[in-house]
Amino acid sequence: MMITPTYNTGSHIIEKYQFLHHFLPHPDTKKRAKLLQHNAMATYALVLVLFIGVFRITPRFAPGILGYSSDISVSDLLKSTNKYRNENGLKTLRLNTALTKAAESKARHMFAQNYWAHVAPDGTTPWDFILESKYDYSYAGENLAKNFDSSNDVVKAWINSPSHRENLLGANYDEIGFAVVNGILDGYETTLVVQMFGKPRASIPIASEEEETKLLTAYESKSVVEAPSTQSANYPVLEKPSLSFVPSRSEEVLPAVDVTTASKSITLVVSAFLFILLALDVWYTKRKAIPRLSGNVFAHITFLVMTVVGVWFALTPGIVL
Amino acid sequence: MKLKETLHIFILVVGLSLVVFFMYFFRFNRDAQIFTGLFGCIYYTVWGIIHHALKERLSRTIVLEYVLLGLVVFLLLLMSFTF
Repeated sequence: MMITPTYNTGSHIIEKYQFLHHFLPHPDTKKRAKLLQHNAMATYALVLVLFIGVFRITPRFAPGILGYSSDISVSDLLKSTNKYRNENGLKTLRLNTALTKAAESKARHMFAQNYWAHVAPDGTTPWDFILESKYDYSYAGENLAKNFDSSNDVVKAWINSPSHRENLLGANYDEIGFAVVNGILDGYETTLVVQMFGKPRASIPIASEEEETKLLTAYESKSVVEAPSTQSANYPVLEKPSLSFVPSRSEEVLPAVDVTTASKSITLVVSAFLFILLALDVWYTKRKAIPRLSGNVFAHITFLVMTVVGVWFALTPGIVL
Repeated sequence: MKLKETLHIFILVVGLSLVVFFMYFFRFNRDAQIFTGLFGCIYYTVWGIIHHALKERLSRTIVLEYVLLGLVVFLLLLMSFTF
């Protein structure tokens, strides 16, 4: 007697290749593809929790592997800041050596003490750094930023925050200092940006164009900066200044794993995977006319697409303080 | 019936579009972004439950389906917005 296999034609081929039901709904049980069923979804949730855990734990055990890529330059920050001030009818700020040194010290202090705040855990304030760099001020301010990938985004973020915008548009300020320092903070390789504003206490000349050019050149060449003090003879409260220092060169940061790219990629891969399974579900269910009582697939697909759009366009790792 | 379904989908799309808008609006405020994402996932789950309840086709399996998808998406958002 001859036995005819039942999987030779049409949908029976599927019966031979049972693994296809991981990706396609089952016409008999009327259930979704196995990879879309509740068990699978719970597994995805668990895997994502593990990913989050790994992202959290890795920096503690292997500092510097995860990080934020960046390419920020002081000259771009200065240009963007002054452009925004000029657009709002305010004067251009000059780059000052003492404020730059104060900003450098602040950034290095944050990396050394591993903190992210205006006031250090040991109580050191921004004003301490400014006074230490022998800048005798009547007005001073500080803006901080971390994890940004471009100078433009840093200034945009400050503009978007009312308190930082207030500093950017401070009419009392004459001079400015920047530090763009790379290092490891909380186990993540990142770039800290410190912006310090000031107005000298006495009516003395503010930083010259020559001083500004020297400073900008020093950023590129990593040379020693020597600059005149803004200290007034009328207010001899500070010692004779010593302003020689080497500003950090604005170098590109390329960590082993860029957290932003990794997050976006995982979101895209998981969403695309679910999207394809749902699309296959729609196609196969219609083709085989499988009646089913389950969630609205169109709604699921819309939700996933919106998630990818949200993450892709709204994810900016940068934080301002 | 078709009009009702269209209206439901319209409400979903408008709600999710607002969530995306606020995520972009709060792009420099991490906490607000996470809160917006959480709200979006809860909104989606509740929408799914109401949608099926109004169609008188609500079951425990369907509720679980929306809850699990909402959870997976929230974890994706949490992973993206907390670093």
